[in-house]
This record gives sequence, C-alpha cells and structure tokens, in this order.
Amino acid sequence: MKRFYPVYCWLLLILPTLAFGEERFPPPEYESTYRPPITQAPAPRAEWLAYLDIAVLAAALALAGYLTLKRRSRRGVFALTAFTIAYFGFFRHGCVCPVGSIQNVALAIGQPQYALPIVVAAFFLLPLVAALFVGRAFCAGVCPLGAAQDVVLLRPMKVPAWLEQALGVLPYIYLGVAVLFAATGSAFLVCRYDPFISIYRMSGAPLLLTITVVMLAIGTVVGRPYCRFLCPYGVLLRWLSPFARWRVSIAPKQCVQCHLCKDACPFGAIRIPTPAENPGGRREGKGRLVLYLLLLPVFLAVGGTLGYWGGAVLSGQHMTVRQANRVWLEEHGKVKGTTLESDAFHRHGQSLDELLQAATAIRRQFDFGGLLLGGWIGLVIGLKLVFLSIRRRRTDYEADPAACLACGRCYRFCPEEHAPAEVLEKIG
Amino acid sequence: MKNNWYETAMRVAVIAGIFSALVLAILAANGWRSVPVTTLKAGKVADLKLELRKHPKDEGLKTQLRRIDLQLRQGFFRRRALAQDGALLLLGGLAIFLLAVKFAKQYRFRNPRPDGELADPRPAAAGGRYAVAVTGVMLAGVLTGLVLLSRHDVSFEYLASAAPPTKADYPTAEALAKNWPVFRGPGGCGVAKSTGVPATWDGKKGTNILWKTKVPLPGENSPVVWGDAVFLSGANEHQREVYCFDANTGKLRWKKPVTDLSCADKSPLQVMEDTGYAAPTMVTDGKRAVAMFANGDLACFDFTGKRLWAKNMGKPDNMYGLGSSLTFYKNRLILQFDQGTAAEDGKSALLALDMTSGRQVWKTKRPVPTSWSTPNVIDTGTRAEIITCANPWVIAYNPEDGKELWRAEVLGGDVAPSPVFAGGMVFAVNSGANLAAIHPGGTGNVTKTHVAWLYADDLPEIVSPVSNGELVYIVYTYGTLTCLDAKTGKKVWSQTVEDEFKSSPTVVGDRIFLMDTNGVMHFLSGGRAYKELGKAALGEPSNCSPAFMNGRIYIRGKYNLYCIGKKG
Repeated sequence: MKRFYPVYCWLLLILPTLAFGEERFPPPEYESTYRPPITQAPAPRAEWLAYLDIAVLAAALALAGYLTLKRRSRRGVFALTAFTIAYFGFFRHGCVCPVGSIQNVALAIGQPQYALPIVVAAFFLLPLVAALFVGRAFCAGVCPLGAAQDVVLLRPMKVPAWLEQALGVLPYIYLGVAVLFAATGSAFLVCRYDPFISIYRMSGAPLLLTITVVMLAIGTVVGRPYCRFLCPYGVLLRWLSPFARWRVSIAPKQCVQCHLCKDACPFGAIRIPTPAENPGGRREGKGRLVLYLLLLPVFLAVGGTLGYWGGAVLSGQHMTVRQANRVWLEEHGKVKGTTLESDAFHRHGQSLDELLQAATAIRRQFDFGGLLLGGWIGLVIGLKLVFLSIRRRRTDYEADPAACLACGRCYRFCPEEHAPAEVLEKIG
Repeated sequence: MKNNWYETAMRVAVIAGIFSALVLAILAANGWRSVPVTTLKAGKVADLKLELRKHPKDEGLKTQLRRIDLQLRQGFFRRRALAQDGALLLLGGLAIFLLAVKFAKQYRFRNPRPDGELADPRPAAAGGRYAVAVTGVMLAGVLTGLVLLSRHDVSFEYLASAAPPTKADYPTAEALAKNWPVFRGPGGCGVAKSTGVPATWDGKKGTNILWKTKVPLPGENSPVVWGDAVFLSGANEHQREVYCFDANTGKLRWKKPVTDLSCADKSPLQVMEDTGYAAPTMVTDGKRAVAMFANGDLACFDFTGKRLWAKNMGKPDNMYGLGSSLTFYKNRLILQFDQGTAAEDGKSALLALDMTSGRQVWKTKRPVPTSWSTPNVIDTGTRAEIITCANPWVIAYNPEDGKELWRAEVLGGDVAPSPVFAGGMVFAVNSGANLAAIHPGGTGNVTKTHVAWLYADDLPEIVSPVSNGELVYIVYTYGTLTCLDAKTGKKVWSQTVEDEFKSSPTVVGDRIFLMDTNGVMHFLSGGRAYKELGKAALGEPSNCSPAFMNGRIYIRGKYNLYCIGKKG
C-alpha cells in the first residue's frame, strides 16, 4: 500500500488546477439592434424538497442510531456514509448542513430582521435532539463533512494526548469566532472555509481547493481532523452526547478486560481503565483543581478585556466597516486613490454620515462581541484545565461519550462481539 | 481465496490510480491552456477594436474581429466542457481507487496485539494541561496582537467624531434679523428691513459705490453678510474657493480653496454655462460660513478662514448643474439635494447636517427628480416648517427630525424658483405649472384642502416670487412682471418690459428692487398699480440677488462685488 501513497498524495495536490477551468467570459459586444436575452434567475427550489431534506435527515439520524447501537454494524454505517456523500454531498451540494446552520441561528439572534428558514432550523436542531438519544449518530455517517474524511482515512496514526488536548481547544474558538461574525452579519466563516464543499460542488477558488487538499491529505493519516480539531457543531454535540439515552459501548454486554480494543479507535475516543492512585497524588490533584477553579474568573476577565479592545480589528472584516474605514481615509487625504469599496459607496449615493453611523453601530457590536469572544476563550482554556485536573475512575475500556463519533470501528476488536460471554468465561 | 481478492483489489487500485493520474494530467493541461477572460480585452482583439474605432466602416476588420471572437469563445466553452467532464471522471477514478484500497485493506487486517498493561493517565493529563496552558498563552498573544493593531484602527477616529455636539450653538432670531445670513435674506423671502438704501447709483461713475472688489473666480451665488463680513464662493472646472470680504472696505480678508475631497465618480462634471460651478448661495450663522459647489463639495469655515469641516456629498446627478442654495435652522444646515431625471430614480433627498461638525442629523428621501429651488424654513406661528419645491410637489418637513408634514401637487417641469412665506401663506411657483398659494400647517396630501388659489399665466422659470403679504409679484425671465392679490390670487396688474431677469426681487419698504441681467436695478412701486420709480446701473451684468443690510446693498456682478450706500 505504501508505494501508492506518493501517487495518491500527488493526485490530491494537483487537484487545485481544476479551478482554472472555471472562468466567466464577457458577453459579445453587439453593435446592432440585437439585445441579448435577460439572464433568467433559476426558480427557487421547490418547498416540498426542503421538507424532503428534513425527512431524509431525520431518517438518516434514526438509521445511524439503529446501525451503531442496535445492529452494531460498521458496514451499515459505511453504507450510510456512502448515501450521505451521494445525497447531502453531491445531490444537495453540501448545503444546508447542520455545521453551517449554527451561523444562521447566530445571525437570527444577532440580526432580528433575518428570518431563520424552517429547514435551516430543522437541520440545526435535529442532530442535537438525536444526540440526546443516540449520541453522535450524526457524526457517524450523516454528516457530509465527516463522510468525506471517513472515506479517505487509510492509515490512521495516534495523535499524542498532549497535542489532542491542545488542538481540542480550536473547535471552541472557531465556534466563538463563527458565531461573532455571523451574529454581526459580517461573514459565514464556516461556510466560506468549508474544506469539503469544493468536492461536492466540484469547483472552488484556488485557496479553498488547497484547503480541501491539505485537509484530505492530513485525513489519510489522522482520523477526521476537521471533526476533532475544528468542527464548531461538534462542540455542541460534545456537550449533549454525554446525556444520551443510549450510548456506544465497545463490549456488547460486559468488558472482559482483554485490552484488544485499546488502540482500535482512530479518533482517540477510547478511555482506558485507570490504576489506583496513592493518597499523596490525590491531595496534589485536589489542590490543582481548586487553583484552576479559582483562576477561572481571571481567565474570563483577561480574555474578555483583550477581546473587547481587540474588537476594532475584527470589525474590519465587516463589509460596511471596511468600506467606512476606506472612505474615511480617502476623505481625510490619508490614502490616495479609490478601491472597489469606496467606488461602490460613492455610486450608491449614500452619505458619508450614514455610512459612518452604520459602521459605528457595527463597531459597537464588535466591541461587545469581542468582550464575549475573549471571555469565551478564557473560559474554555480555564475549563479545559479544570477538566484535565479532575480524576476519573474507570474500570473498563469505554468509548468517551463526548468524543466518540459512533463509527463502529471498535466493535470488531471486541471478542464478545464474536463469541458468547459464557464461552469467553470458560476460556478465561 | 483471500489473496486473490487482495490482488484483484490492488490491481483495480493501480488501474484507477493511473486512470485518475491521466485524467488529472489532461485537466491540468486543459487548465493551463484555458483562455483568460482578459483575452477579449487585450492583445490582438484589443488592437483590432482600436483599429475599428479609427475605421468604423472597414468590413474586413469587422469580419476578422468576429472570426477571432468566435474562435476564442468556442475554444473557451470547449475547454470548459472538458474540465467539467474531466472532473467527473477524476472523481469516479479516485472513488474507485479509494474503494479498492479500502477493500484490499480488509484482506490485510492485522489483529491487535496490545501489551495489556494499564498506562498511568497522570502524565498524559499533565501533558494535556501543559499543552492547553501553552495554547492559552498563544491565544492571549493573538488577542494582545489584536489589541495592539486595534489601537491604530481608523474606526476610532470616526467614532470620536460621531459623538453628538454637547451644546446647541446657533444665533438668535434677533441676530438673524439684523444680518443677511441666507439666500434672499432673513426668512429667505426677499424682504429687507434695511432702511436708508440709496435710490440710485452708477457703477461706472462710482456714484454711491462705497467699494468694488474683483471676485477671483466666477459664481452665480449671491452674497451673504454677517456683521462686517461678506461671503461669496467662486469656482471653475478645476478650482473651488470661498471668499470673505470686509464689509466696510471691500478688502478680501481671506480666500480659501476647497480641495482634497474625494469623489469616486471621476467623470467630467458637466454644467450649463448659466449655472456654472458655484451657483448655490452660502449660509452664515455668525460663527461659520458654509459653501457648496457643483461637484458636491461642501465646506465650512470659521470667520478667520479656518476650515472646520468639509465633505463631498457625491457628484450630483443634475443635468444643468447644482443650483439649490443652502439654508439653516438652528444649528442644522439644510440641504435640498434633488437628483436624477425621475422620481423613481430615488436619488433625491433633504438633509440636515450639524453646522459644527458636518455630521448628518437626518436625511429624508424625496419623491422628486432634480430641482434647482432653495428650501425655505418658515415659522407658521405654531411650528417651523421647511418648504421645498420640486416637480410635482411642494413638500413641507419638520426641521427637527426631517419627517414630512404635508405635500401639495401644484408644480411641474424643471423647478427653480424658491418658495416664499408671507401673510400666512406659502407661495410656490414654476413655469408651465402654477403659482400656488398654500395654507401651511396641514398634514398629508393637502392639494384639495389647503391650496387657497392657483394662477397659471406668465409664470417664472428662474426668478423666485416676492410678497409683502398683501400682493405677490412674479417675474417671467423675458420681461413680464405680474402682481396678484395675495388673498384671492386675482391679477392686479401685469407689465411687459424689454429686459431679461434671473435675479430675484426684494421688497424694501414700499419699493420692489428687481435687477435685470445687464445689472440694471429697477425700482418699482410696491402698490396696486405698476409704477417704475427709477433705474440704477451696476456697470456689468449680474444674475445674483442683492443683499441689503444697514442701509447698504451688496451686489455681485459678473466680475466684481459691489457695496452700494450713501457716501458720507
């Protein structure tokens, strides 16, 4: 297999050249009385198809739960993954997806004039509701982003625990930034930099295609890098999955401590039994935990303060603020020439005061949003340290309910899956 | 059997890999050869187009151009189709490759061989804490970087300037009445309280000419006066200037250029020669003087010539050139910025700016096309109203918030005359429509309820009306003067003279001062019968309306600013 890796990687790396095939051509310059036909906007998608999407999503979630928890079928999950790629990926072009729907919800909260479409609301809520019953069944085989990574995973490597913890902070930050930008109407960052959308749409800008290639290349050796270290929706699922009614269990009935599943999970979601701890270590652990708990408000305050004062730069990502900044600089002779933004402003007929007032309002939102974002980052770091200081006692090999993607890969490693418990007992 | 499946899967993987590589190579070559969009705007095509402009009837050139254009387009769409088909094939090839590799992997599954020892989780947790702490420090560094960058963010500058003024700073009604702060004087209705103005003068001989000073740049705007300062603006296609003259000596106190105001629309400004580049009359509130120019530049200076603020309001979409003068209410500069060829263009608006900072206080869209009329702020006794004229509406606005109060559909065409208020009635007029007398104070569309009377003969197209409350006088550009009863709208008298008029008349005591385009002032009796009391010549043409203050008259000629008064 190894000899094909260079070819495979090479194939993926030159994929961006496809982007150059997608260019637009100007219409011919007619000098006669002929008028080119007016471009017709395609009719919106039929409403019933949107409801079909909701129904398909609900059915897929139910099926994923059934396949992972009841049937314990990795093949079934893989088949569902293939269906997800076909339907939610290529047929629906990866949109709407629950991951991106976070931004719609944030926008609806931040900008009350935006009405949240029912299909988007359903896509946002259904996987979360499902997580309360069957854990991360959505991640197992219903998410088109996860599916794309799942099929390219060829030779998973174990990510060191310290790196896993450090990278595990990123989804929380991505979630915070994405919500801030969406709520202020600045950008849908998660969609803009969706690494897999260019596959499903079979086109994309060179930067996005490069991101796709890099993510897929990493995904061949690191299990689902986007899901584990970036996905903002995964954060919400992580919070809800531990409360699931039914959860993934590596052993069908009882763990026999065979250790065979120890390295089975390519996503680092199996938690091993813990040895007994001495009293001295316990005291030290408690002291550390108290310290981090006391430091939580400090993390929160420092992050919030830095975020508040840094909001101005973030606000520059909003189109109106960027435009106002540019026009202001031009008006005060601090820059020469004009840009597309300032040209658009002058052609629109809006007064500078109106533009500045609009930009100021957005700047204020970013001041407050920066405060929340900074506080959120501080809180995440603090809570991570707190949770890493809590000692959990385990006697069996368990799938971490928060981190487990319910893919079913670990089942085949459990001898109980293949032989009845009484037989295993006799064998000893 | 297992080995057979494994070998088969591997062969399929190899074939799919090679196939995918080939498709990718074709796609890469196709992408490399792809015609850039700019091809149709550059190179040979551009040369041919240039050539065709020189020889527009050269059929050979046209044929050649069409042929190349067609070839390029066909090539482009052929390559695009190939890219789309290739992408599908590549996707299929890679899918088979992945499936085959995964299938093969199933047959080389290695059973796990764990060591069976339980690892102590504490070092891993400690490593995790360390890594998270380092990540936290790095994130703090990123946030600190944002803070440092934010310190120089330009948005802080306009956030500071957006702060509302702490104190309203505007002149009293008494101070306004003693000066000539806006077009046609206090109240903007062409009624002067000044007494003792001379009954005759001669610009060439110097009779009753207190001083005469050359104005550097041309302009059709009229003088505004506050205390001993007289303000004018001048402009040509390339320069815009604001002037302050000493009212006692005529000395040019200062001359300030209006520059560095950016406007993205760099297309040449086209104005009618009669309108010029500085038609709007300035305003002064005793501390500041504001000027506006045909290109949309708006600049405010203090009495020492220091520029307080300036901005470009956008190049006006105005076919004859900007003509509406400025006015103000309390500390708000009022600007009637009507644009476009039709109301549907949605470009027209009435704006109020803070005189101190130039900050916009409110803006109200107007359902009208371009107009050249000056808004007038009137006091009805119960409330203040801004009266505006344009096609087809006379619309009144609340100067506090810009909300529309009432409107009457009485006008039409290219509206230039400004409305006046006298005897409790608003008079609005335009050629081809009506002279309308409207009771102010209404709400909504008052066309059927508040219009007292309409008059439709010999209406002015440029000159604004004037009224002493009992009679209304209108002047048609080419010499027909008409007097009507203000209460009934009935014609009292009408007289045609040989002169042409663009300057608006002024009521001074019981006389009407009306200057023709040759700069000759006609003195008419303000009574119910036409009577010309005399004439006085400036010595040069003039289209501007004079300012009357403290027994003096300030008139802008085509070249000079004159101060007329009794000598000694």
